[in-house]
Amino acid sequence: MVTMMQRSEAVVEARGLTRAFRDFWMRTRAMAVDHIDLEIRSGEIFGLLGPNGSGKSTTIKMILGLLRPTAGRLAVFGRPATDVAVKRHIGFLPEESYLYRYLTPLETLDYYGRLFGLRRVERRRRSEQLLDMVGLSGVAHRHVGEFSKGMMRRIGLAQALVNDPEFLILDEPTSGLDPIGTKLVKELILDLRERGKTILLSSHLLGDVQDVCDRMVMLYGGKIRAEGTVDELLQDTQRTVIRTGRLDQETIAQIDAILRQHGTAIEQVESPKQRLEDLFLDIVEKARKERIATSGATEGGVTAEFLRSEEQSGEDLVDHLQQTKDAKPVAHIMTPAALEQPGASLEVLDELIKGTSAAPKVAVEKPQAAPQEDVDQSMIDRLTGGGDADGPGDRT
Amino acid sequence: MTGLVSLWQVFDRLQRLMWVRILATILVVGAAVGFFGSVVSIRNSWELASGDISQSLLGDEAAVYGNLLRDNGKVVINGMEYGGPIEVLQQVIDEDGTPTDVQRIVFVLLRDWIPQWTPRWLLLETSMSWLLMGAMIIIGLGVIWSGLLVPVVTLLAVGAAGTALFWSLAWDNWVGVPIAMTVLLSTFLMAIRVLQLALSGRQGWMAVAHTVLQEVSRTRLAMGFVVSLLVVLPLLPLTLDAAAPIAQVVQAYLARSLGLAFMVAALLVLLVGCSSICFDIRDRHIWHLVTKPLGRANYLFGKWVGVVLLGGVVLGIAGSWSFAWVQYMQSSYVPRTRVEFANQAELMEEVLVARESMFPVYEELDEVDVRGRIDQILLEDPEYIEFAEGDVPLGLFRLLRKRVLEEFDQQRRVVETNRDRASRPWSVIHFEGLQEAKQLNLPLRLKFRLLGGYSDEHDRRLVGIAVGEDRSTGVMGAFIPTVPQHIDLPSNAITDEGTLDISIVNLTHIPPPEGNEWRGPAALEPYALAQGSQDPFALFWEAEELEIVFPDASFGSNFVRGLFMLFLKLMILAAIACALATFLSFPVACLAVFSLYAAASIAPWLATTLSSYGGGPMRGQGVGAVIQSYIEGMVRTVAAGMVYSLRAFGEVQPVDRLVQGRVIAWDRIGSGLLLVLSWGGGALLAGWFILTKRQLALYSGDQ
Repeated sequence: MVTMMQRSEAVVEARGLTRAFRDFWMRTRAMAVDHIDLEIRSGEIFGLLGPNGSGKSTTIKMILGLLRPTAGRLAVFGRPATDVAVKRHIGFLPEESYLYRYLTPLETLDYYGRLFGLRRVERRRRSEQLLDMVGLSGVAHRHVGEFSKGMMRRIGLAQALVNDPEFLILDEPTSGLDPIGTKLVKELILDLRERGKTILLSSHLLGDVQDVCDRMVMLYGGKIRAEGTVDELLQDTQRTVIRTGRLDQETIAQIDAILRQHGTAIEQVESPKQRLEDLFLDIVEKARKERIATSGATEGGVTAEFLRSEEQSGEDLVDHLQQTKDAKPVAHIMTPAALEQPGASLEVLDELIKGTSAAPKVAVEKPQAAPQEDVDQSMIDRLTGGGDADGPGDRT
Repeated sequence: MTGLVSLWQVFDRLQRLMWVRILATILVVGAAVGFFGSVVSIRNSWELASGDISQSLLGDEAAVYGNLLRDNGKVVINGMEYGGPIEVLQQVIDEDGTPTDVQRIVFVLLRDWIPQWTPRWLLLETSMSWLLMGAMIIIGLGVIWSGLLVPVVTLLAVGAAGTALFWSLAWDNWVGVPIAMTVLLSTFLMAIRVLQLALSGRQGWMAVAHTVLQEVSRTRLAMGFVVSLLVVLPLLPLTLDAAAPIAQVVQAYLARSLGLAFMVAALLVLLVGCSSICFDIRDRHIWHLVTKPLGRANYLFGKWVGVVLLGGVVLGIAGSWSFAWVQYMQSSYVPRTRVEFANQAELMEEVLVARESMFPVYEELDEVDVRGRIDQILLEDPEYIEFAEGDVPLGLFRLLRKRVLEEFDQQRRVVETNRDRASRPWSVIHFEGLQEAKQLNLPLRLKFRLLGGYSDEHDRRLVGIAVGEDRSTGVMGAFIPTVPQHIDLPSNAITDEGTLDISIVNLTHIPPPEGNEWRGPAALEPYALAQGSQDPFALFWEAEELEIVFPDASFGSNFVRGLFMLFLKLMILAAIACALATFLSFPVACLAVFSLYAAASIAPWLATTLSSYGGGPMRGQGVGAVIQSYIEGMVRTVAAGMVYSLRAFGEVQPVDRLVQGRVIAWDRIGSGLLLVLSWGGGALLAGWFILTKRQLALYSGDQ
């Protein structure tokens, strides 16, 4: 399939985008979007955040041509947002699934597939794969009106993907979904990004946005208040987090003493907790293995085959990464701030944790006092009682 | 109820299984081949045996076989034994063994060869059996493989149960009603499925139309309309007056069935046309659609096509049923008395025909003559004498002009009496446009309804009719004022230019003879000028109640044209409903479109009454009179505008023409198509423009 854009080109470009709602006398009743400049690049996951009434949905509606801007320029794939040809490459999941209640999932996907001009055999194939992917194969012949909210979201997601879009717009995609569904959606988003898709994600669930987005903007009152990559926006430069194996109280006290010599101290010592999401998924997985029946949605399958047909070659990926300085590696690895600070030494920290067990790790946070100084070698030497280094080693 | 629904769902799932479908296919094909094959086999065997028996009874040894039958009641022919009741055979075989009625002997000998379950009419035509077998297999396979097996079987089972119930109760008139209802409903389901199959292309508008049909078949409101129509239709014959003449019965049935079918189809079209788009916008289904590569034009066109096809299916099924029932009434009517034979003739000649009609071409007044007559009124009428010299107010001029034209129109439709020797008691009526009738040598009929005197329907008077201006070879006959009558005319009386002149001679002063026959040829003028023994009165007729009619097409083809005209009207209504739905809410759109429909339907009547409403000089004086005059003027203006814009729709009345046995000419159909293009196309264009400009997302306020 021919893609519309070369990598790194803008899928959506907005300059001075404005949307005002006026009353009968043409007085401005609400400025929903106020002169925002926005650029969504090809192949990235772009987050659109903001409180209620900040202009997120209005922006999305303008991108989709459901609303016309009052002022400014807006181009999608280099064309006006109202261009019908552009829609061929867009998939849209609205905040609520406004699907026909009297159609079954199969019929729904078939209907929308026909709007994209897909052949019958292809429509059938994609429908089955998508329903399997979102875990609705067992209810393919039930009317959508009988579905729960979560099931409607799943079928909504499936219809957004029926045309294998290059640009996917997801408005609150995990709303109403259980953790299984949420996990599915997030994995799918990441998977699609790997396939070169561009995704615009609007959500109130900040954790979901943080987990998947490359760049994001935060809107308030129709204006952009913050913009940047996840790390740029979320990095706390005032703290250092060090993860170690389990430490006994004596060791913790020693560390604290050393830190106090440098004008800081341990703020908090805790054992990391398993995430509730992980616990939920574990329980469900066990139940699934015990073959306990469910009448609702099932756990989804793998990503639909037709969506995987556009996997990037290694060369493309490299080129993509080199061209886009904000490119992220395939797996998002959380690293403490300390490791990324200039001067931080892996060898030093390896010394620090030498000899620890494989028990749950202890997060040692360095409290903020004055502007942070690097952890120097002398401190680490004192901590380890001498400073004999075993040489460089992998932290993990 | 939940149990029934669950059971239905179980069967619904079962019918989708491949093995079930294959099994059902085998059963249907087997049943069709078994039944119709048996019928064909019986017929073939019967024909062979009939041939053998006939040859034997007509051959050289006929007497031998005849004697055997007469004496024993049985005979062996070509190795087969045939037998029958001796007493019956002795009636058709002479004492010397000669058969006197070979065909009857064959029927008697082979009477047991035809099983009771075999329909006799099927045995007459082998081709009909093959045709029905093929149809049963095709329909059966369609029902099975399109997923309609469960609903169709359920419907037919319910219908059979109802029929059995009424049969057991000996309610003969009701026996066929349940099965008829279920057949109609099953036909509707199958027709929808066929249409959906036809709309299975990849074009966006086809997908939209396909979904409209799905929506209708799965929503209660729309199905309620359809079911109510298809249930009421088989009940309509029960509302007819069986004692009335068959022509009137058929006319009543046609009017009611087609009128009801169109009304329900129109309401359905308006309702679905409004709801489909209004709810799409209200419930935001349209967000999913316009964010796909589906242009607004395709969307609107698809909705319109879906609604039109729905209305067409309902109209087609109801119309087909009506036609079939009319044919049944006509074929099952067996006249026995002279009156019944006359009724049957009236049915075949007045109702189950498609006649073209030509109205007289009268002399017209030019404006100079009109002005002259107005001047004369001004001079002679004391009420207007003041305007005789000088300018005449416009309102008064219009009023007088209308009066002059009306009086002239009435005068040209009058045949004076012989009382006043200055005027001749006859009129020559001129007809044109009869070339086709002359070329095809079609029988002409002069239809008229004469009025005069007290227009007493108990009165009988004499009238004379002659072809052309030669009244020496006319005919005379009795007529009853206010009662429609007719006389047949030869087509060779038409000139090469397609014209025909008829002389109507006033003979009301002469008592008519007994009987209703036309007597002649006779010289009419002497009778007209002679003294009579009765008080004569002037004869006159209303406009369009004197006409020449001739058959122009068959009833069947005319019926199809009528249905097509009704379908064109549905197309217009659908376009208006879809257009209004693009910017109005559902209740407002329904109100607007139903109001338009009602206004368009009454527009012809309104046009007639408008001519006598208001106008003319102000009556009375003072503020009240002024206000009244202005209000009347406003009402006239609004009504005139409505009539002008909507009249064309209301004047399309194919049901009336079918009931009266009048042809629906091709030029009318052409006008209807133009109306669809102008009104329907204009409405769709306006709707597309509105939908394109409309911003479909609402301001949520909190997002």
